Amino acid sequence: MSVEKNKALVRRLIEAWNTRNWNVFDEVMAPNCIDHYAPPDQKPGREGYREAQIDITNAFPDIQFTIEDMIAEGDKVAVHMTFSGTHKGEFAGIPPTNKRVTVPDISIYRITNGKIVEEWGFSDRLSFVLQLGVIPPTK
Amino acid sequence: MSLEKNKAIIRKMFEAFNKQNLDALDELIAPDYVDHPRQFRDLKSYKQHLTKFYKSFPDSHETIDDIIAEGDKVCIHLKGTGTHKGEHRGSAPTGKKITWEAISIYRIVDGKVAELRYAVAEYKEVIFHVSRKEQGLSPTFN
Repeated sequence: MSVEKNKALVRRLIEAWNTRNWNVFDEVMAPNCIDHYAPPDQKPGREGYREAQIDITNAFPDIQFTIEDMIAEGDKVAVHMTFSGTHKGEFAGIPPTNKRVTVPDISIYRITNGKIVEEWGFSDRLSFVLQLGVIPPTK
Repeated sequence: MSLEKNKAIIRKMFEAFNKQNLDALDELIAPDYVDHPRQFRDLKSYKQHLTKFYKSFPDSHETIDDIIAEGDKVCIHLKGTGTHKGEHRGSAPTGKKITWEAISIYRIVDGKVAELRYAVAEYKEVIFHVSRKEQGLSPTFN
């Protein structure tokens, strides 16, 4: 698997989020893929990952992910992306605020045999909650 | 410049951070280094920041868990620990051991680190245990 093919695979996943094409998860992710920073209540594997993505899309119905940068080597692809969306539904116990947020994220994916098998993903959660207004900004 | 050389520069930079050897950074970081997330525009400002950071966390130590290079960019996933002994971002010292994780993307030009393009970092205890509990946030927020 070439680095370019791995990058294309990750691009397909992110496009699937933007187009709400949840079936693409079956093509690009291994069933037992590991989401290292999943919240404790997320179900394991691809199903849990898909449900989490559907949950965030229900909470932010206009959510779109934009790829800012991609760095790939060996079996890994790192992606710097930004997601923007309007908070219209409950999310992680936070009732809808109707606020529009723009949140940076950097995630690393590991790919084996043409499928994503592991992910280490960081969203800027502090920026996220500050934009939602659920934590007052400090000086 | 090869990918291996670029990765070696980033590894040496973190060795210097861990030894708190600011002089060693002159060989590794460009004088006009730009740190986009924290908005430093030169190495001098960055060193001033590090000096303050070392006062806040005198035993700070970071390890690189993963390193990925392509073209002139190097992405690292790091884990850090340090004891909060001095004021940090307006928080009075707590004496507690803090852990953080970050994924950062650097750009290397002519054998020196020219840019921190982006970084997402989390001070786990700060975000999870203080702010979230005090604000009544769900512990599963992702």
